[in-house]
Amino acid sequence: MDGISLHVLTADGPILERMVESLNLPTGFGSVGVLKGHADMLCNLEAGILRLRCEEGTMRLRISSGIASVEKNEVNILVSSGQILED
Amino acid sequence: MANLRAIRMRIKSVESTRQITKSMKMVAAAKLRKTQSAASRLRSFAEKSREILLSLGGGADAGKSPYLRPAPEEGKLCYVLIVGNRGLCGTYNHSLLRYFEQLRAEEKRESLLYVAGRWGRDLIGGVDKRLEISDAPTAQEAQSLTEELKQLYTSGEVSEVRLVYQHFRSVLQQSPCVTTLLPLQLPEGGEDRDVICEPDGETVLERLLELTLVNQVHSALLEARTGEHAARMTAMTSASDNTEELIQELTLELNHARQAAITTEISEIVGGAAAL
Repeated sequence: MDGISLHVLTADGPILERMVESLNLPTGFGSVGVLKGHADMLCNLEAGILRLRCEEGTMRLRISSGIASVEKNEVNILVSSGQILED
Repeated sequence: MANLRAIRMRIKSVESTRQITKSMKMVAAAKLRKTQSAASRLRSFAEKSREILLSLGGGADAGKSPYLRPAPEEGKLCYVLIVGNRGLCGTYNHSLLRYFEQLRAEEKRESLLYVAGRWGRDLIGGVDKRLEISDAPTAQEAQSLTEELKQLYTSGEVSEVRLVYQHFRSVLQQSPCVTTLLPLQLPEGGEDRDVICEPDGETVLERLLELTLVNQVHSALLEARTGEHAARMTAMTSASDNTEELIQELTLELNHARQAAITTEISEIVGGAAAL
């Protein structure tokens, strides 16, 4: 799938690694949307819900505060803890 | 006969020691695998955070961070000595303590001593605080220890924080080392990328540095514990080998004593028969 390569990482190992179409990052100044072709960005994340859209539909992850790096259609999210939420 | 009974009892006691050392070896091996895999997972996380820090390049914002100010020649030091949670691990704890005492004697500045680990309550003097660290340190434990050290440093109580622990080289080799946690050293080799920082460069750098600090503390804790389990496993392996040898020697001794008793009995019977 052509899209964004997402890696959600914690010190205890990766939580999620997959291709996504778009995602919404929880930040201190609201939700920030990232689509394919987004400019390179470093962003502080606050504890909240990370939403992402992929081929199968939408997914939600509860994450703690951390940092997100967007670089050439690759998003790395470094947090201390995270959990995939079942819909 | 008394001699035979004594040897049998000795063999029994050595056998139960062997059982204990073998179990301790297996427990240490399982804990070693656990900490080693945790360390390898942390390594990839720390590597990614280092890459991001390098991509930010520090730049103008680096000077503003309290974690990056140059270490003054004066002011108090804080040593965090990461010892084991238990003994029975060869020279692991003792060699670290010797190294630390030498280090402290050479340093002219006044210092605080934080000890992470349960070993040596009666051996280590002048401890300002003792911290409880589990056998497989988690990110949360590293986080709370880092918070405490950051607080100590930013409040100005100490001007430098150093970690003293056993560097894990291999299962058979650990060597004591000291690293400076605070002030932080920015990794070299970064290139300034044209990148948007949200909310701003200074805040993002601050968050990244905090993450780096936690990673460094977590990595030191894991390395120290991995070394402890490896040292215990090695010590218990040689203890088990020694008990095997001892059992063999005692069995031989028992056979000799039994043979001597039989020979004495036969000669007594033969002597008795001849007298008749």
